[in-house]
Amino acid sequence: MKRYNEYYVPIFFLILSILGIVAARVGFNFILAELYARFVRNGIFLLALIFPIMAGMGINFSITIGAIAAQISMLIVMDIGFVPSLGFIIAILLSVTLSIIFGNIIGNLLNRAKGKEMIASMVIGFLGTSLYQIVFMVAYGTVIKPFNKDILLTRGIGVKSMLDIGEYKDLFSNLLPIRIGDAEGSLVPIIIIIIVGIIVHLITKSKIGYRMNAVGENMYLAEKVGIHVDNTRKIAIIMSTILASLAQIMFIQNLGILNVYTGHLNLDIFASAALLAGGATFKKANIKNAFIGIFLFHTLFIVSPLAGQNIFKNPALGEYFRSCIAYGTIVFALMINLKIKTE
Amino acid sequence: MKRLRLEAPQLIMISYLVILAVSLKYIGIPYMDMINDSLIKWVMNGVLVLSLVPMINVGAGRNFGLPIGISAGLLGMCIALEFRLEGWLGFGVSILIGSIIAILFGYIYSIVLNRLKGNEEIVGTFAGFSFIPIMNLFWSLAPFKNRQMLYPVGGQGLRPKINLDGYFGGILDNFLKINIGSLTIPLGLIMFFFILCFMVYLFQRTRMGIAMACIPENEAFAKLSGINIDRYRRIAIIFSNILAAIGIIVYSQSYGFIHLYDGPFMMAFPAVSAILIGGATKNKATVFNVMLGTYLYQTTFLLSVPVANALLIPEMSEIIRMIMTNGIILYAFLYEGVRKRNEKV
Amino acid sequence: MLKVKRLSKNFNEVKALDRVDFDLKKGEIHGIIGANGSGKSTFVNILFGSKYIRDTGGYEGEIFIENKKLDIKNTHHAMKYGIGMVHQELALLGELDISSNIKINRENIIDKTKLLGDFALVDREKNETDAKKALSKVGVDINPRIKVKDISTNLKQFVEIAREIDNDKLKILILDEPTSSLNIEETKILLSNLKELANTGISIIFISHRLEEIVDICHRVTIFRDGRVVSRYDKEDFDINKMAMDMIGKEIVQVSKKRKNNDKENILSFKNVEVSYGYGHYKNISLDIKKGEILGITGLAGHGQEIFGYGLMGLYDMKGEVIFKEEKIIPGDMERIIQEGIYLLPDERKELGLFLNRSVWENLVFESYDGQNRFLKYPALGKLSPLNHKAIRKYSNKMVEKLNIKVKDIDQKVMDLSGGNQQKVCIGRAITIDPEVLFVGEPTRGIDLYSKEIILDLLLELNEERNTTIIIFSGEISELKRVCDRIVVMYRNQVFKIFDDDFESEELSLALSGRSLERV
Repeated sequence: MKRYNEYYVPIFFLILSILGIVAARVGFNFILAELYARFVRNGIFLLALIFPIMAGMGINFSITIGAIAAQISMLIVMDIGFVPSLGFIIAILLSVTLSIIFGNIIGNLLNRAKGKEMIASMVIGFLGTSLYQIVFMVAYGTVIKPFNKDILLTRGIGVKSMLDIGEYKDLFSNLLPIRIGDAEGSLVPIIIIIIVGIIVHLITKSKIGYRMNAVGENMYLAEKVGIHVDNTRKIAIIMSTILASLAQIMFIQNLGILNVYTGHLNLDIFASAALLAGGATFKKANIKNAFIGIFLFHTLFIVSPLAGQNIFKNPALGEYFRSCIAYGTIVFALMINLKIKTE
Repeated sequence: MKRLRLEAPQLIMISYLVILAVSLKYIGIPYMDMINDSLIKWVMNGVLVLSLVPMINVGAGRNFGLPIGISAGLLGMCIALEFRLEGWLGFGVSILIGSIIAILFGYIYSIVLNRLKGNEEIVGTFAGFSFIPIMNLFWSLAPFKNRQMLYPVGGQGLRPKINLDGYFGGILDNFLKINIGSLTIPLGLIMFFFILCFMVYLFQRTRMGIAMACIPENEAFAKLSGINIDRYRRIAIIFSNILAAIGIIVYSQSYGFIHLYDGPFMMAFPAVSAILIGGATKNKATVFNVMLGTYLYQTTFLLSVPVANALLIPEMSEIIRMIMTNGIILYAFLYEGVRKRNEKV
Repeated sequence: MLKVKRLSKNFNEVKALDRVDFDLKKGEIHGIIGANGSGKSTFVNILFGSKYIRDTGGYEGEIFIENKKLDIKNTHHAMKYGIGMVHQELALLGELDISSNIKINRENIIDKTKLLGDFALVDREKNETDAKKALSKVGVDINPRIKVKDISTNLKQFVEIAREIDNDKLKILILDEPTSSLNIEETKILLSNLKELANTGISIIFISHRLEEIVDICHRVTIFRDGRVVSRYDKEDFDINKMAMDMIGKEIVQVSKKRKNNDKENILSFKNVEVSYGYGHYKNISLDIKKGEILGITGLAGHGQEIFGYGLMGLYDMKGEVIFKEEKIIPGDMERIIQEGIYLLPDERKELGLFLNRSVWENLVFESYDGQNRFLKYPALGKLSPLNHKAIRKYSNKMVEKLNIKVKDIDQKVMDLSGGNQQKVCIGRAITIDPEVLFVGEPTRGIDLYSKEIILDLLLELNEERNTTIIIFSGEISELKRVCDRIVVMYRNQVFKIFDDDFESEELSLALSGRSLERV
């Protein structure tokens, strides 16, 4: 019987990354710069996946909806036209509020789909995306009147697909500046992410965390010893959604552009692949997995297209390789994990 | 004998359809055109939906890994095109080669699914998703020589959409077309579909088909009766894959193009949704579910396009289609959960 | 401390408990014994507020704790009132460590973080201290940081008990077969610790099949049978033999079967096999089954009456040498075993013996086609042949008539039938398959008197006409006596005694509790 050693997968990714770096022939500085950006943009997503895994719900693909909450908040804030520093805080508050509402709904749905939470969360994510699109593509301009007409398309109905966030991008540029590799950035986002990481870690060691562990191991037994199983699962999802929305805010701020209709897509796949790359499984995940995973996975992510370019003269191949690794990691992890469960 | 279950999804679907049909009148689009198109769209997508039946009935869930079978069919067509086989020969050889490749792919897929009984749907989803980039690598690197299939510039790698004009585009659609006034019935196409449906129906009535259907009902009992669960599942999965390969070939000849790369990516969800609308459940699907569900699903989408255009928001039809598709699948998941809980007591 | 008046519980129409009266003093150890299905599990499940009880309609009667009338709606309530229970199937979370399991839902929190409510940080060290204290009360000294999945089953048992003890609100502790996985030393330790526990004022309800243990530590004993309390004993009146008899009751039917001359050869032999199921692993089990005989296997619940049939057919994990007609067969190799002509009709008919959603005829003939070629329309097509519905229907109608199955027609769904009729369908299927060796579990459980006769007669007929070797495992001893050539008594998953002649009821009752007449 193969014992799933916690380090098999991270080592595998490490080797792949090294090979990739060699094949891509890029400088270390370049990689570091890219990593900084990706860490800031994606870090908290990995943290968001931890709680549902602890509670036995597998990978929460509906973190997409947390991202949507963030998009909505940023959009509204930009529409109203607050001063960036104030707007940023309001955006965060608004997105957390929306996340709690959405997370509650998602939690209820997933409690009714016990046993197939992963695929149900994926479908919920798709559904959420469609509803979001309807509101912003159809309702804005017709039923909802924006404050600032500029955000609409020329035909008057529907929000533009790309919005420049303007001054928000420079929010941190003068605070604690550092130079990482080729890039100039600020220490502040990194600190924010580390703080969130610490908070998540502390929560895992709290009463709620213990309860989630119990529920995740065996729902039936947890109910027997008096734990409110449904409630615990719901809280895990709500926290997950809140973290996802925070992550998306960091993403938008760092990227500089709000991609209204596509900004929230695919992050669930890549975040979960990264977390799994860091050694997490469907039943167990911790902060270590998150921080290791994000670096390993994204390094591979950065160098694949370039390696494809150099070896095959075809950067698209690198992209395919990258997608294949992302989905493949999940399949591989599914096979190992579910096999152990049935044994 | 066959009870039509009218639950929330079916009711919503039908009312939406009625609303659209009425709206069409106001826009002034002739019904006949829509009906003619609906018949073609019905079969074009129908075979893919039919491919879900064997796996559902053996208890392997709804095949979200449809892209795997589809890829087999695509490969079959590319090979036929490489040898410049036209017309019926091309069509037939595509099906033959596609089926053989589908057996191979299906076999591997079944090994994965047999190991993970109970989680076939999520595993299938990702197996399908991860298969596509692998095939993408193949489409980019494979040594095809037929100029019409390759990228115009560079000469290596297949182009994303390969035109079937001059090969077998539309061959089934136009076979035995019957015109009754302005109504055009693509008899050849429909007969092909019916023959495949009939074959599936017959299979379900054989000893093997019956045994397969009993597995999800009570696996322990089936095992105690000497049924080799893994082997039967494998056969069903391979059968599903073969049908999926044939399905994409029928689809492509109607569409007029072979759609490679990310084409098959999201094809599983509409198919699953269609069969659910037709009344299929987690472990039971009949040919009737396929025919009814596909027709409702496709016709609804068909009618929504001109209506959305008239409202000046063309994207609406696609978004609403996504909402319906995913909503129906989600409803099925939730409803199963409730039913299971009621049974436990 | 605890008083129960006229407690009753029905599951659909089956009366599991019938006006039971019970009382428990403070600091008393009270034993409850009874055979399978006697109602003792239902009784304690009600006390502990099990969800299953609530979901199937609750209970009738009155429960008083410390003279206050209470309504136990769920486990939470039960625990609030001070009732704790240690189940037979351990309720522990393997991935968590011992201290987490012991303090589950009652963790200590670091004072400073109390304001955070549920998000307060858990005080791991205090947890471990409490855990160690609770463990010592049952006489165990072990590092509480070890994960529960890494300790032995017997230690797990102690951890569960410790979990209940750690609750300082505990007043009544219910133990359901706590010593079933312990060896002699550990049992001694547990029993002495239980005595001490009782001395601190905690009342204990102790359920067990091991009569020696019961008389060792209990102050009083209550005996359940068929959902009623049949007798009570105080310590002074303890008499193991009488108690064993009370559990089983008197024999009603005196008629025994005419014994066949059975010096025939063995058709199926189990030589020193090992069987694992649940938490148990049992070795060195042997049994020879003679050709053409009807063999009965019985024993108390959990003592292994079903292991031969279940082990051979792969429901339990059986390893070892099994010889069928002088050839080795591998237990669990279903396809081969069925081909050879061995068939199992499990006692859990609904779960393992029927397709409830399908019709009577479908269940009767399912996969009997290898032996009954005429049911296939085109036998040459093998597995791809459709069925010959005409032949099947004719046969099914005949069967239904012969077995007197009460149905509208053969298309009726099996789940609509009564328990007795369902069982007849199962037997009908067994007859259709016409095996050489047939294992049958509890053939007449839950069936009305008239149908019982029919079923037993059918089995006899099968044996006489087709020379089918039949092995019946059941708890209905009177019936076994009627139809079986030999009766095997299982005790602790070993073959304890084989009766192949006439015997006294008392001898059998004692054998069930692992005692022989001579020892008296």
